[in-house]
Amino acid sequence: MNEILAEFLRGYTATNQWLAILPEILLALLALSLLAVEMASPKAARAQVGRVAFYGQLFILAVCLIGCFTGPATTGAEPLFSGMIEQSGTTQFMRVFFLLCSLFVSYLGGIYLERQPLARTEFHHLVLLVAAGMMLLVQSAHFVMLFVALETVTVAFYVLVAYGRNSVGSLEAGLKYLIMGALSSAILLFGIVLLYGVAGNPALAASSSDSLQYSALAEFISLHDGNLLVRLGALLVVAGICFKIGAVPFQIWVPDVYQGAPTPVTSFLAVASKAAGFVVLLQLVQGPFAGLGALLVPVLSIVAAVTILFGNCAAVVQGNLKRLMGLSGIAHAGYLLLGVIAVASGVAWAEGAVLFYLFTYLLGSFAVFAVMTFAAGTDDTDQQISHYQDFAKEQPFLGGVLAIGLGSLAGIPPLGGFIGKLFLFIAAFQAGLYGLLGVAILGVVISIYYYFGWIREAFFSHYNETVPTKTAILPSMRDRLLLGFLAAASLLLGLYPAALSLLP
Amino acid sequence: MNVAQSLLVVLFAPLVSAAVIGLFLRRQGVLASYLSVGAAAVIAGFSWIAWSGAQGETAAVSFSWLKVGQLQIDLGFLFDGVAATMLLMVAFVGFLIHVFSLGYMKTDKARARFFGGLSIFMFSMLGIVLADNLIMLFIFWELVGFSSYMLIGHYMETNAAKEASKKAFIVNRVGDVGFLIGIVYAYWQFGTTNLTEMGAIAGLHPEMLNWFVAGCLLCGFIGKSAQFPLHVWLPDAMAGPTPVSALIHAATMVAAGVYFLIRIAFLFTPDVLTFIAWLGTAVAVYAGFCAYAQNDIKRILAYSTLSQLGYMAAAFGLGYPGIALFHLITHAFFKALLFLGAGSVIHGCHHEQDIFRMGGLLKRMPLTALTFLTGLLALCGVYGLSGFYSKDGILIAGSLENPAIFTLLCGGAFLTAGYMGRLFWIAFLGSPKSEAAEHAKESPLVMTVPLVLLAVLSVIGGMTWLWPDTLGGLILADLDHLHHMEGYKAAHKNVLLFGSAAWVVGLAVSFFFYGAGAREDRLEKLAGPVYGFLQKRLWFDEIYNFYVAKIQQRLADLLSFFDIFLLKGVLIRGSAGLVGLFGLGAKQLHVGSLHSYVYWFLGGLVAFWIVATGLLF
Amino acid sequence: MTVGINAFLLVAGWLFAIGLLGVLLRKNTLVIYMSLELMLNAVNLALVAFSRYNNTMDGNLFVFFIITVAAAEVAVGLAIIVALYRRRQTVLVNELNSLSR
Repeated sequence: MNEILAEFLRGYTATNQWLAILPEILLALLALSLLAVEMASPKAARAQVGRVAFYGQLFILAVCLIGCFTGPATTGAEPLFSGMIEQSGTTQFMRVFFLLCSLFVSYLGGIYLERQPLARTEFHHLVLLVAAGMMLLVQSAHFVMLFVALETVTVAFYVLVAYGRNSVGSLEAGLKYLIMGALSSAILLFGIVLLYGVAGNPALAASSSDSLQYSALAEFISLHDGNLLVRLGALLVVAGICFKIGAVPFQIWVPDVYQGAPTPVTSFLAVASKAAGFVVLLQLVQGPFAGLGALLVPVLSIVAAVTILFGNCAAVVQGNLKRLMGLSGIAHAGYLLLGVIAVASGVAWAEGAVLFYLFTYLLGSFAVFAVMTFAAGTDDTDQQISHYQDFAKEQPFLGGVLAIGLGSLAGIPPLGGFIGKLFLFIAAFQAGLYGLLGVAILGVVISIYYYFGWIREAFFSHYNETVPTKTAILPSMRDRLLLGFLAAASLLLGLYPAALSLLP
Repeated sequence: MNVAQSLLVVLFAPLVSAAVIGLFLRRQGVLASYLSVGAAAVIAGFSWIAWSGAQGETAAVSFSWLKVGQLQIDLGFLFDGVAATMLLMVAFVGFLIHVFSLGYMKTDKARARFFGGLSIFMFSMLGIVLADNLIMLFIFWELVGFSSYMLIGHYMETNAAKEASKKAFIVNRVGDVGFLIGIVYAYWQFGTTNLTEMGAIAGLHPEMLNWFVAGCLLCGFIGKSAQFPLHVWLPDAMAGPTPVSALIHAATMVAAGVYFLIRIAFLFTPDVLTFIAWLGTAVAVYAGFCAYAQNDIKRILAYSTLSQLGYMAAAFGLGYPGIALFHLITHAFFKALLFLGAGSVIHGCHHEQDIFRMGGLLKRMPLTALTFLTGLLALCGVYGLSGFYSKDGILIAGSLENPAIFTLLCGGAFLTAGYMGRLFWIAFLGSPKSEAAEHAKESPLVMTVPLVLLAVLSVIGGMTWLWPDTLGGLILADLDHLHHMEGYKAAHKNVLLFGSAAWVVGLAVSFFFYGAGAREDRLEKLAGPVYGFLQKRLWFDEIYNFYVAKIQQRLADLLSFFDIFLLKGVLIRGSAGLVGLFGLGAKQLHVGSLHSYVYWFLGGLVAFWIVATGLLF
Repeated sequence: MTVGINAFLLVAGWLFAIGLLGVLLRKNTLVIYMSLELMLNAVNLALVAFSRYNNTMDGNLFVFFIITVAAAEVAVGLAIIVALYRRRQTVLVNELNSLSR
């Protein structure tokens, strides 16, 4: 008996790959321990939960970074858990990315929750789970894994979006996100099923018994790129991801949900959720859908062009800042699609361009959303441009961070966003997407109107009318440090972009 | 400390100063000013160390700036003789102007912002001087434009300053668009934007040069150096504080355009060069005329700057970049001196800038007046002063290469002497014509010492035999080339004759025409229409305004339906209307009802289905 | 008589379409939610059918995941709908448009 057990354990330890997903496990443990801390601690000490979450994430970030530099997975892709998960430099990078996102979101969430009579622990808990889910999502190499990770993220997001339970806006946004999200999940699933069915058909060449696996599917699709079910399935999967990244025509939910959700959650949706969608899309066009370039490149090109124009044009006339950030986020998704299309048409390094852009987008967006969190009144959904009159005069530090964040999003030269756009545009140029490039440049020009409209309102407007009473919180030293980091990093990446390649 | 390290110190000292001022010293004007001056001193010191360390060798340093896939862009310094000359000039003149500002801006409320701006400017300007590739150059070029915008608009409360800063910024952007296209085109053609590599490739394959790339890059020069037709911003830029006018709009930034041309001289084909020569000549003469109709002491100097930039462009266009650089350097000395002198006068007269309300300042501010006179004579090209040597070189080049240009430039020299004489006789001689001039007092030492130092430089700056070999390499080579050309002797004699005649006659005519300390402008009285014509700067602003008011505005009126949007600060109104139309349409799509949103999904699915069945692609 | 895979797929397709139309046309959020579940079940049916005819087990396995996920979604969704009803006293989508434009 003992021998059998020993044999079993030996076999088990030989395939012990749990270390590979150590950050995800740690995140889940941290999330659970938050609940335990809340249960165990007296009511007065509940505020500690946020601190535990913050430092816990800092620790996991350190673990991730160490893993980045020492782990074996930094080289090529490496299949784990019998092909469910594949790790590469990109997924390692995205781990750090998502952790940074969750770090900022739970930090901003703490500030948001101070003003709202809402439970705190669950917020941090959910943020951590979403981060872990996203990490697994970008690592998945199997459609079942993809679906489960995606749903972990999405279901947690439904709750987060509706977190402001005493605000009609937040609940309505939650409901809208719920129905739209469930619909898109169903569409995505249907696409997966079609692919699964057709690729597993023994009557066809190169069919596989493991047809939900990316590599098996890639082999099949490369032989059957004209098959209707393959084309339809792939397009439905792409449609499901287009929902995540907010690309036309699946972008329509974005402004409403962004407006209703609590500002920290909005930032999470805008940055992390979108980034996860893009990395998955990148992996799909490089993996299973690599043989479908002739189909995907024109479709995505049209989607990208319309997305850029729609997002920018709609943002120009928008006065509500959360909606504006949503619409401008749609435009950013359009620029990012440029990189994806470049990858799909054979410019391999464009993947790096997309990741770089995502990172600068993270820095710029969180700078802006952080300022919005500080500047928001009690009604979180009502943040108008006009509320920013005299903002820079009253809050010079926040004003400066806002200007750098917006400037980076707009792509103004000495800031990171400019380099990010430059990379994407060069990639698009090398891929021969001249028309799309023209549209993108037009979009950038349009975007300057609204970004600078906001900056102008904050810096150069001096109205004597009575401005609505402001409840802006003065940032503490720690807040300043964090915001200063965002601004400085934007600037650093603009001046010395090679700094990011220090990360693997 | 090696050359690269000292150059890094030079570049980043002002950035650190600006950052510290911006972050911590916004309310401590005194500390901010000393920090900024300290940074300028560090720049001057380390520039000297870098130059003496390089010992005439070309130092090139580069590091990987960005790297994605196969795409790699390196940034670095190209520190050759030309850069060293320019660097020392910028560092030294910049330092003197910083010191002068200590006195001039003493009572200003927003001193921290001013000195922070000066530091940012120094950082960007030094970046231009040291940059070894077009992309880095462009980045600093934009930064220079930004800091110039900020400093022109220093007196935010006045409308003129706001308008002028905006004008400068927008007009410069127009030029930069061409510049940017030029960079992209150059990268596409040469596969690199590194100046040294591009030079090597251009030397091997002269057939790769064409007028298009040179013309595009030329646009950047035209905008920054305020050449025709983008010259309109420079006179208005005088709304900024006087030290800024001296530093940015006379000595360094506007000259950066010429410096840029010299850096990329290998790109120019003969036809483009001829074009530049004529362009410069035209501006030299045109600005000379305009200066006669100005009463504001700084505006007269601004037109004089325009005209001298024209001389530099002409020299470059005639094929003598070294002589253009020579004139750039001497011009920086005497024009900075003149502007600072004007600043001293304005300071003494409690911000009176109209020369017809001055007068008698020679007695009241003797040191300022004498140094100003030195600068003036140098500008006019009086024998033995710095301006003489460089202008002499340009005129000789003109007479040898292109007699028509030579004639025009001689006329320009005459005009220069005339309007400068007008300025001096009216403002400094005679009796005071206003309360302010009556009570004018000599400025404090912190302002006069820089004046004296600059005056010394204006006198000896042109004596190339005093220059170390490691500085004037290109200048000496070009001068040498001139000396050995056929007909040099005769040309030299001609130039000596005509050039000297130009300033003697110019000064004399203006003296007898206007008279010492005149109360009103005789030209305006005698020939009103001519004066009006000149005052209108030959109607350039009117043409632009007509375009804006009559053509552009009409279009905008048409689109005033989208008023909400247009009010939000739109640059190009026509296209903005279109965007607004789409935007309003897109806004209406977000009706807030779930059902209508599901229709989008349905539409998307149908579209994808159609694509999948192969009906479209 | 054996039923071919196409028959299953047809039914699955119909179910999916009915679900989509339900989401599109019904006003009550609860019914919309049921329609969404119907769409997921259409997917389940197709998966099982494919699994049977392709002789692979992955599809059957996947169905369990989908059912679990759907249960989680329903839990969250109903909670949101209830919370919304307590604030607004309505669950009709045409009245839920405080967020628009």
